[in-house]
Amino acid sequence: MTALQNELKEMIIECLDLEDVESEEIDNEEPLFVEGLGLDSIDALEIGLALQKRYGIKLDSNSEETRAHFANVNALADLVKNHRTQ
Amino acid sequence: MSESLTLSNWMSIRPNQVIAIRSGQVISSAEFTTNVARWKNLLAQHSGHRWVVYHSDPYEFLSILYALWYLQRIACVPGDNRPATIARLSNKVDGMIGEISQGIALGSNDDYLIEDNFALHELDGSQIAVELYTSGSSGAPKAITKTIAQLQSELASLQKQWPAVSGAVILSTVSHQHLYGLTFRLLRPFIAGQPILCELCEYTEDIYNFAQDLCQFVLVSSPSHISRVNELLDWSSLNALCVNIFSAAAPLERNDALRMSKLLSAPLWEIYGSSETGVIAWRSQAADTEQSLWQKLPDVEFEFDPNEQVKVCSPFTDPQHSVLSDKLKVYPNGCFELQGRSDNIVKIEGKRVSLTAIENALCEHSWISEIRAFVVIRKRTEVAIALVLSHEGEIQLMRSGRQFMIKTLRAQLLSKFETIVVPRRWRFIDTMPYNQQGKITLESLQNLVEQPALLKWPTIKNIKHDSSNLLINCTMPKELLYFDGHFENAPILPGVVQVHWAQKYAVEYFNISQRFSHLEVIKFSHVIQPEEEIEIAIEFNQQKRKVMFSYRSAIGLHSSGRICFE
Repeated sequence: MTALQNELKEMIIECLDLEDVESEEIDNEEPLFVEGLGLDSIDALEIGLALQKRYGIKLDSNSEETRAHFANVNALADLVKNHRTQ
Repeated sequence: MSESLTLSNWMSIRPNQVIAIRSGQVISSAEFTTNVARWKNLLAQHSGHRWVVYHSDPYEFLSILYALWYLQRIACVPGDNRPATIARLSNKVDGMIGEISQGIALGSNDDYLIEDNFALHELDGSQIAVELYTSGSSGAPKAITKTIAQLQSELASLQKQWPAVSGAVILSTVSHQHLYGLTFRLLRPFIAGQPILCELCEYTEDIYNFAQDLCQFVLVSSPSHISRVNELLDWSSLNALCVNIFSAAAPLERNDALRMSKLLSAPLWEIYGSSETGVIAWRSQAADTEQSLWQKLPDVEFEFDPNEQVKVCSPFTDPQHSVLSDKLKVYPNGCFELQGRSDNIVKIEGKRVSLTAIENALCEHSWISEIRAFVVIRKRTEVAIALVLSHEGEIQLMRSGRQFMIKTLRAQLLSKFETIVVPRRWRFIDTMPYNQQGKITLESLQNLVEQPALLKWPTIKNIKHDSSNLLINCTMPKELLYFDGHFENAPILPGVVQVHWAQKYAVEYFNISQRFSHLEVIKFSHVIQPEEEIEIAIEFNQQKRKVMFSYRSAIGLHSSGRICFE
C-alpha cells in the first residue's frame, strides 16, 4: 500500500511538473487541492488523465465523488486499488 | 417564434420551454417564473441599488438577474467568490446575494405571497443589466457595464452567425460568472429555447456521461478542457449528438481543436472577444490550412487609430471600452491574426490576470527588494516569479529556507487571486538580468526557470538555541549551489561554505555586531555529501568573542573550528 502511495506521489509531481516538492514531503492525508499541496482545477484534469493512462481508471459521472477520490493521496490510493484495470 | 424573443420581452411572452435540467429533473418556464418571483419578493425586502451576485447554479443565477432587473437594480458580477474578491467589491455595492458569506439566500419558506402579474411589462433596454468585474492592468478590479439592449444585440448577432438549434441541451465547462459563460452558457440558450444543464462539467468525463442521456447537445468549453480531453472514452457512441462546440478564453492549438471536433463529430467554433467588447470574431480551424484567420462577427467593424490600436465598433460595444489591448494583423479582406497583447495582462489557462497586479501584491513584502512576474510555457502555461531578496529576506532564507518562504508568499497571493494564476515557479536571484539597454527581456527571465532553483542554505529541520548555544539539525539538499562544480562527479560541500554558514548563523542568532577577525583552528575530518543529515553545533563565548562550531552526522565529526571576532 505504501508503495502505491509513493508511486502516486511521484506520478503527481511528474505529471504536474511540480517544483519545490519532494514525494517524501507529501503527507498521505494532506489535502491535494487549495490548502495543502495547493493544486487547482487544471491539475485535477491532468491527474484524471494520468489515472486513466496509467491505471485504466475511468472517472465517475459524479463530480462530488471524484472530488472525494481526489481529496488526498490515501483516497487516490483507495481509488486505484479498487478500480484499476491495468 | 424564438426570433422575436428578447431578454426584455421574455417575461411578458413567457414561452413554454424547458429552462434548465438539474439533477436529472427538468425545470419549466412556469417554475422559472415562480422562482424569479420568490427572489424578487425576497430582495424587495432589502433596500439598495447595486448587488454582488454569485451563484454556482446558472438557473438560480438567472432567476436572481431577472428579479434584480424587475426591481430596477444592478447585478455586479465577480468572476469568483473568494473572500478577497468580495471584500474588494464590498464598498462599491449595497449588499450580497447568493453563495457569498452573508449573501442573501432563498430559504425553503420564502414563498410569501407571489404576485403573478409583476412581470407583464417589457424591460427597458437602456437599463443597466450587469456590471462585470475583471482584472484591470493595474490589478484593481475594473467594472464593465452592460445594458440589457447591449446583451440582447450581442445575442442577435450570434443568432445570425449560428442559428440556434432549439431543444439542444447546453453542457458547459465554463462558469457563467464571466462574460463568455454568461452569454454562451446562460443568456443565449435561455432566449433560444435551449435547456441549460445546471451541473458544470468539471472533467471531460462529465461531458461524456451527461451527454449519454441527451438527444442533442451544444458544448460550451475552453482550451483548458479541450486540450485535456480524455481520448480513451468511447466518444463515438455520442455520434451526431453534438450540434456545436464553442471554445473561448484563449486560442486553441490546431491539433487540440481538430481532435475535439473529430471526437464529437461536430464543428468547433473558436470565439474571440473580451469582457469589454463582447464577442468580436470567430474561427474554425481546418485540417488543410496551416493558419486559420479570425473573421469578424456580423455587425462588428474595426477602426484604426493613429497609434495602430484597433477600435471595435458594434451595437454591443460601449465606445468607452472599445480599444483592444490585443495587437492584430488585419488583412485587406477584414480577416486577422492575433499577435499578443500590448499591456501586462496575460491569460493563464484562459484566466485573465495582470502580471503587474501580482507584482504589486508582493512588492510591498519586507522580504522582497525587486520582483518580476512572467509567463512560462511548460506542460501548461504558468506564472513564474524572479525576485531579489531584501536583507530581511536573506535572513529569512537562511532561517527557514526557500520552501517556507514560497509557501508564505503563495498564501498571500491565494487570498487575492485564483489558484490557477498563482505563480508555481520561483527563482531567488542576486540581481535582475538587465541587459545593456537597462531592460529585462522576457527571454532572460524565462531562462532562469530552465535550470532548477539553486539553494544557498541547508534545509533546516530543527533549530534550538539559548544565549550561547545553537543546535541546527539539517540536511544538505542536492540543489545546493556549492555542490555544483567543485568536483564534477563527486559533489562535496566546500569547507569555506561550512565556515561561512557557521559564521552567518552565529551572527544572526547571537546578535554579534563585531566583524569577523580570523580563524583560529579548523579541521576537516570527513567530506559532506548531498542529502546527508548534519547537526551543526555552534557555541558563542561572549567574553572571548569566539565562536566554536562543529558539523556532525551519524558517521561522526565532519569538521570543527573556531572563529574569532574583532
